[in-house]
Amino acid sequence: MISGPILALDGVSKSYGDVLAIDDVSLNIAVGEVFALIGENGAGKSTIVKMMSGEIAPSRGTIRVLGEKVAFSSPRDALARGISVVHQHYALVPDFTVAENFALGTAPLGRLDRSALNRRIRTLAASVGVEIDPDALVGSLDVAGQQKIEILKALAREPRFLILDEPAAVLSPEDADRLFLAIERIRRQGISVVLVTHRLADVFRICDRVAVMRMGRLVVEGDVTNFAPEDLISLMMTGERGAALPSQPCARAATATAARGDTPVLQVRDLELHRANGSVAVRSMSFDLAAGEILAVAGVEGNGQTELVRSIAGLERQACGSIGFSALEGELSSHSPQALRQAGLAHVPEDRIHDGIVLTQSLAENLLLGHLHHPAFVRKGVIRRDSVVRQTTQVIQDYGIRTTGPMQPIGRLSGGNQQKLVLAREFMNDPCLLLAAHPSRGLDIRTSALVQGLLIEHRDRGAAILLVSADLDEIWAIADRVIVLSDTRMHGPVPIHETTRQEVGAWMAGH
Amino acid sequence: MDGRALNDSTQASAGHTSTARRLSPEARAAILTLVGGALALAGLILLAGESPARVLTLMLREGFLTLNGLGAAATRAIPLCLIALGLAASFRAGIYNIGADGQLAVGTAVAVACAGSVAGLPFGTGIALLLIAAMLGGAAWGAVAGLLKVRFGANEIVTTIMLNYIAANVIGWLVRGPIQEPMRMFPRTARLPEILRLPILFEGTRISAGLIVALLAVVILWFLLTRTRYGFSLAVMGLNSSAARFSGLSRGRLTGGVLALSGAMAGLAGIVEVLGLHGRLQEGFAPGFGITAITVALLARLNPLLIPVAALGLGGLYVGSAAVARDTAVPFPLVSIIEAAVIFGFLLISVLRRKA
Amino acid sequence: MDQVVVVAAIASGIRFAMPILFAALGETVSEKAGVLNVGIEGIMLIGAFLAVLISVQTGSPWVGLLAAIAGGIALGLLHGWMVVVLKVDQIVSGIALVVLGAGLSGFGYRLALDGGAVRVPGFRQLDLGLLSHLPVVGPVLFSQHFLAYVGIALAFALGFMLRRTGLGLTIRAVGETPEAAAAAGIEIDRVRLCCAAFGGSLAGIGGAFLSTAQLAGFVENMVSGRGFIALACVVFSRWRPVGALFAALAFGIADAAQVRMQALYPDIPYQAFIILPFVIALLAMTMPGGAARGPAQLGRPFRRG
Repeated sequence: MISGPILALDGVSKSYGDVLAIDDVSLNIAVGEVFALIGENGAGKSTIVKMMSGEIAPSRGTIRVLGEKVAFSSPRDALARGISVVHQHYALVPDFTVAENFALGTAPLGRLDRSALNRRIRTLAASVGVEIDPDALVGSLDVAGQQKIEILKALAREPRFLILDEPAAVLSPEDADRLFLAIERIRRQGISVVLVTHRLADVFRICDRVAVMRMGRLVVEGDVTNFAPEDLISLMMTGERGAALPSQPCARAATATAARGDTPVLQVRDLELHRANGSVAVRSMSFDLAAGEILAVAGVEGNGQTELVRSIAGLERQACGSIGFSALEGELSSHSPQALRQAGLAHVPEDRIHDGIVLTQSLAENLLLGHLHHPAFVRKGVIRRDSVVRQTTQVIQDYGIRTTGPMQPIGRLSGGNQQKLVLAREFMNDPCLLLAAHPSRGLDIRTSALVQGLLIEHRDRGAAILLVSADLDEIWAIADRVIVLSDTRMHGPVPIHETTRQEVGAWMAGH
Repeated sequence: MDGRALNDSTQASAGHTSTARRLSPEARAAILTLVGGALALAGLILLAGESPARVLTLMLREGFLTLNGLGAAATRAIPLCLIALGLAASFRAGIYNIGADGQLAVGTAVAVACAGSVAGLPFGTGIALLLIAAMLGGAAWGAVAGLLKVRFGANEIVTTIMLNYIAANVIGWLVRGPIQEPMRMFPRTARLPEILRLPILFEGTRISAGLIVALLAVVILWFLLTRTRYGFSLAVMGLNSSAARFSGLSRGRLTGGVLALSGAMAGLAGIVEVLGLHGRLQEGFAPGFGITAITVALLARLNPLLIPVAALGLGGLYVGSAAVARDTAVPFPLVSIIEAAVIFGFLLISVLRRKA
Repeated sequence: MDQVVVVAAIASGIRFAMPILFAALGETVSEKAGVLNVGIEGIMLIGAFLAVLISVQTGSPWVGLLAAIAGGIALGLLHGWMVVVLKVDQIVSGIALVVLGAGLSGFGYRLALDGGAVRVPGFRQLDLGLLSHLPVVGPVLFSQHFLAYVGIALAFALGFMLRRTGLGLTIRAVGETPEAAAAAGIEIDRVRLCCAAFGGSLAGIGGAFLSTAQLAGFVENMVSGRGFIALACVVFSRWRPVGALFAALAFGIADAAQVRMQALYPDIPYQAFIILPFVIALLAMTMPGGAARGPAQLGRPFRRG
C-alpha cells in the first residue's frame, strides 16, 4: 500500500505573457480515488490538465509523482510516469476500425495479429465492464463509442493515473451511466482518476473529492460529502459558498418587448438536428425569435448549437422539422445562402479563421465579402473600391480596430480586431436576423464588452438576435430569453428574469 | 486590391506579425534549393560540353536583344499571354486547368470550320465572328471538365488532361479528313482567305494584330479579376473556400464558369495564332502552349498586368533556346528544364514570402 | 474477331497495362500518405530514358532498371522535399515535375543518344516451359515479361501491406488523420517523404517497362499520357492496389484492342480508337463512386500545433 498522494501540485502557477492563467494552485490526489476538478469555462481546468499531462510546463511551483519531483517536457514523459489523458477532442482515425486505431503507433510495422489484438481489446473492455466490437469502423460509432476507445487506449498503457477531460459532456444519460460504471471499475484496479467536468451530477455520482477552480485560482478542495450541489454552483460562480447569486431581472426587457413585432422573425418548429457523424444532436426543438430580442442558446458545446446555426444560415439541411424566416416566403431551406443574406440574415460564425475571413486579404476586402450585392459596394458587377475603402476606414474608426489601415491583410490583426471587423461587416446593413455564435469568445474584457454593447444596440434597433454562448455571464448581461441544449433536448425558452443561473446551470448539467 | 490567389500555405502562418527578420528553417531550405537548382542547370550545360556563361549570353542575346529575336519572342508571347490570362482566372479560384491545349484545339477547330461561311462578310466582321466562335468552342470544352467536376466531383487535373488527348486526336482526324486541304498532302486545312487574316503590325516581323487582341484581353481580364464582383468571388473561393460558402457564394457555378472562361481564352489564343501566324489549321500548331502558359501565369503571380511581361519572357526563352540548340551542343529541351526551374523557383520564392 | 486475335489482344493488353500499373501502385501508396503527385508522367519519362540509356551503356537491362528506379526516387524526393518539407502547393510542384521530366529526358536523349534509335538489350524472356505453350492461357498467363509478374504480385502485396500491417496502418493514418497519427508518436513528414520516394521509384519502373519491355527504345514524350491515366486509375480503384491492377488492365487491354481494331476497321478513322482509353477514363469518372473520396488530407501539408 502506497501512502501519500500519487500526484501532487505544489504552489503551481502558469502565466502567458502578462496574463496569469493559473495562480498558486496546490492539489493532492490519492491512490485509487476519483477526483473532480470543476469550474466554469475559462476557470483554468484545462491548463491544470495540460500541466499534469506534460503538454505545458508550470511557470512556478512543482509537480510530484509518488513524492518524486518531476519536470515533464512532453506528454511522453508524463506517460512514462503512468499518467494518461483522455482529451475532449479525440485523436482517432475515423476510417479505421477500433482495432486499427488501437494498433496505430504501438503495433510493429509487420503483419497485424488481428486476433491477438481483438482479444486484448475485449479483455481490456471486459475489465472495465464495457462492450466493444473491435472490427467496427470508428467513424460509424457515436461519441460514446469513440470515447470508449480513447479510454481503453489510455488504459492499455497501464497508467497509474487517468485524466478524463469533460468525459460526460457529450454523452446521453444512459451512456454517461455506463461511463461511470467503467470509472468505478478503473478505480477498483487501483488507478486514480481525475474527472474534469462542469456537470455537478457527475461529481456527486462517482467522485470522492472535489476541487473548485475559479478564474485561475483554487477556490476550495474537499470531500464531496461536505458539499451540497448549491454550494458547488455558488462556489463555481462567485467563489463563495451560499452567496446570493445575482438574478437581477433584465433591465431592458420592457423596452425590448415594446419593440417586438407581432410576427416572429424566426420560427423554428420540431427541428431535429444531426451531427456531422450522423448522431442526433437535438431530437426536437421549437421556438420563436421576435424582432428586438436576444435569444441566447446556452449549453455545453457539441449539443447541437453549431448545427442549429448552420441550418438557419442555410448552410446545412436539417434532418426534420421546419424553419421559417419572416423576410422570405416558404421554408428557409428552399432559399440559397445568398438569398438569405440579401433578405437580411447576418451570421457571425463560430470559427472565424476558417469560415469568417480570408486571412491574406485586406480589411477592405473582408468587409466587402458578404456584401457583394450591396449597391453601395458593387454596381453592375463592378466593385466600387473608393466606397469600400471609405466604409472600411469608417468602420475602423467606429469600432476602434487597431490596424495600419484598410488595406492591411486581416491576418496581421489580433483576434479581437479581426472579430470587430466581422461584426462590423455583419451589422452593416442593419440585419433583421443575426446569428452570433460565440461572438466574444477568446476576446479580452474590453472587446467582449464592446461586442455585447453592439448586440444590445442592434437589438434595440429591432434586430432579432440568436446568441450562442457558453458564458452565463454574457447571457445574463445581454440576453432577453434563454434556451438550453443538453442531452438531445431543449429546455426553455424562458425569460432571463424568470430564471436563475442555478436553474440554467442545472439544465446544462442535464437535470 | 490585389488578390493573391494561390492556395499555398500562407494562410496558416499569416496570423502573426513578425518583426524579427531571421529566416525560418523553411526559408533557409528554400534558398538552398534555389542555389542547388541553379548549380544543377549549370551542370547540365557543362555536361553538354558548353560554358554556362556562353549559353546564357547567347540565349539572352538571341531571345531578347536582337530585333529579330524580340520579334519572334513577341510573336510567341501573344498566344501564351492569352492562354495565361484565362489560367490566371482559374488558378486564382483554386481550379487547376491543365487542359488549355485541348480547349485551344477545339476552339480553333470550331472557328476554322466556320471560316467558309463568314468569308463573304466585310473585313473585320468575319474575323470578329471567328474569334467569338473559337471562344465558344474553347469554353464548351472547358465546361465539360467543369460539369464533370461540379456534377461528379471529378478531379479537373485528370479530366482536362484526358480531354487534351481526345481533342488532339479529334483535330488530327479533322485535318486528315473532313477539313483537310484539297491537295491532301499534309495534315492541315487549306489556307484561309486573306480577308480573314489578322494583318501584320510591324513590317519585317511576324507580329500580327493578335498583339492588339492580347493587350486588350490583358486590360479586360485585369479589370474582371481585380475590379469586379466576379473576380473577387473567384479569389475568395481560391483563398478560403469555406469562407466563400459562408458568405453565400455558389462554388459550383464559379467552378464551372471559370473553367469555361479559361477555355474561351485558350480558344481565342488558338484562333489568333491561326489567323495571325499560320493562316491555316495544321496539326501541332501550338505545341505545349497550355503547359508553358501555366508557367507564364505562375511567373506573373496570377497578376494579369504582369502576364504579358512573363509571356514575353517565356517567348524569348523559347527563341533563345532554339538559337542555343542551333549554335551550340546544348539540346533544345533545355527550354523545358528551364521552364520547370521557373515554376519551382516561383514556389520557392513563395516559401520565402510566407513570413515576410 | 477470332479467338487468336482476342487472345493476342489480352496478352499484349497485360503488357500494355504494366507501365500504368506500376505508376498507379506507387501513386496509391504516396496518396495514401497524403502526398499527391500529378507529375508521375514526368517521372515515367525519366525512368524510360534512364533505362534505355544505362542498359545500352552497360549492356544489362537490369542495371538500366536500377537506374530508372534511382531516377524515380530522386524525382519523388524532389517532389517530397518541395511539398512535405517546404509545404508548397502539391499540384503546382507536380506540374513542374511533368515539365522537368520531359525536359531532362529529351535533353539527355538528344545529348547521349543523339536523338536516334538504338538497339536496347532486352530482358531474357522468362521460360515457363510447357506452360507457355498451352492454348489461350499460355500466351495470356505464362508468356509475360518477368516484370509483369512482379507488378501483379506487387499489387496484391501492397494491398496486403496497406490493409493488414502496422506499416500500412501508419501510412493510412498519416494521410487520413495526421493529428491522430502524430498523437500516436508517428513522424508525419518522414513517412510522407518515404512514400513520395516509393511512388517515384515505381513510376520509374513503369517508365523503364515502357521503354525496355513494352517497346524497345526511347522516343521523346513516349509516355504520352500514361502517367495521367495512372492518376485516374488510382481514383477509380478507390485507392486500392488490387483495384488499380484491374483498372490498369482495363486500360491496357483497351489500348491493345484499339491498336488491333485500327487494322481491322480501316474505314473508321484510327483516332477514334486511340481516344478510346481516354474516353473510358472520362466516362468512368461519371459513374457513381467514380470520384470517391480519397485520403482526407490528400494534398495538404501537415503543421504541428
